[in-house]
Amino acid sequence: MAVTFHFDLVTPEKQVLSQQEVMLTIPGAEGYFGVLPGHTPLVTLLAAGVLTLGEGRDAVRYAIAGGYAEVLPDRTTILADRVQCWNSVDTAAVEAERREAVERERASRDEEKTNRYWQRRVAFAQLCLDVHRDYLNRNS
Amino acid sequence: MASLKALRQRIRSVTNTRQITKAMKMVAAAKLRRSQDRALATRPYSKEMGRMVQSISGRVSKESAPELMAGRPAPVKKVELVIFTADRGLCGSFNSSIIRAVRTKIAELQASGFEVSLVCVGRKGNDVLRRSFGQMIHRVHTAVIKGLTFEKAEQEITQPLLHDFAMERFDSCFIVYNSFVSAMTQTLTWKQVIPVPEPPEEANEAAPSPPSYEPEEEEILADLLPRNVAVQIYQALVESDASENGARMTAMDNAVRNAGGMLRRLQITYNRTRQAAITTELMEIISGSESLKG
Repeated sequence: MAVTFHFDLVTPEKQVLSQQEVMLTIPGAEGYFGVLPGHTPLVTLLAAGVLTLGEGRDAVRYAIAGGYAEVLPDRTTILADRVQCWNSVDTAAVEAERREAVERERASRDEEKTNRYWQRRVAFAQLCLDVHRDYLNRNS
Repeated sequence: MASLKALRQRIRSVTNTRQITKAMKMVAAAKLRRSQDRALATRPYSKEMGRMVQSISGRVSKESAPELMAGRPAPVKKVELVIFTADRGLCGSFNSSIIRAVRTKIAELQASGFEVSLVCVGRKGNDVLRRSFGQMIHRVHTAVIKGLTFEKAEQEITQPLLHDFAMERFDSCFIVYNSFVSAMTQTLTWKQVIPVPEPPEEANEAAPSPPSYEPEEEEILADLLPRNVAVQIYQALVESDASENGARMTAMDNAVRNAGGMLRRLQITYNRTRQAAITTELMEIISGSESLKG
């Protein structure tokens, strides 16, 4: 049995990763799940959450704003709406974005659709800040 | 023969034209680099998305599939064409090839009894098509390329389109755009986006064991299908943008070269005319002094 499998992480704007991976932890719509080589085929919606590549000290995390994942025994593909690697978070920019999103979210209370849109923005900005804090903690 | 003064003026004006076309070529080349990167960067996502939709669509029964995928039960009557052109001209046959293709398609569809409606993305397409098909144009989007993001494209173009579909303003939708091959070449591309086209027969060699779905197929599809339309529209936009810059660069390159050739020819004519004038003058002087001597 192979110890690694191929992993693609793509967003509409670019291909973020395309590499061999040992283990993934994916934020599925119905809860986090782990993927190892030889996983049973699965297609799932993703929730906003944290994607973890590898485990233990070498783990790398990404904030993900929802999307889809297709898992096959020898390859996994994640189509994400937006992603952000934990080591490249521009805290000031994200904080500003979050504040704006919170504001807009409050302003659009009576418009369900836009409201949901801004809620998602708030959640994603928060996630980015969280993973970045994890990153700093790990390295300190 | 033109006078020396007229020739001088002409040379000056052609020199100016060459300057301008050269500058436009540089601008297009700079823009091309960026838009080409963007066009190539979106391909993996839309490819994976297409694959996923196809693999799910093979497993859902026709009856339970949403209309976006299976199409409407009644025979298709109304067809919508989304046409991607540039906002500006001076890019060779970029716009005209699309417009020509659209005209043929409209004639074809009308001949077979379909009702056609149009959505124009880009000012040029609207400018031309408005004259012959004005009442068929539903919506016009201009200046979409500036500050384009996936979200912007989705909100401005895809959502109204999906809304119109839900309101049964059309049953089937095609998009037409130039897809990017290289700076020199673009290929005209037609794609059916609504409903999802049937997968080709041989393509059904999918995974040996069917994947499990989380949540149910229907729920994933409800999310995936509108998204798929948005992705294809975005893809068309960025491809069309890259093609436009490529086409403009090539067209301007030709124009610069052409102006150079014209300048050379003009310069030769100018020199000859000038020499002829000098010779005539000399002849006159010489023959004048000869006759005085006589």
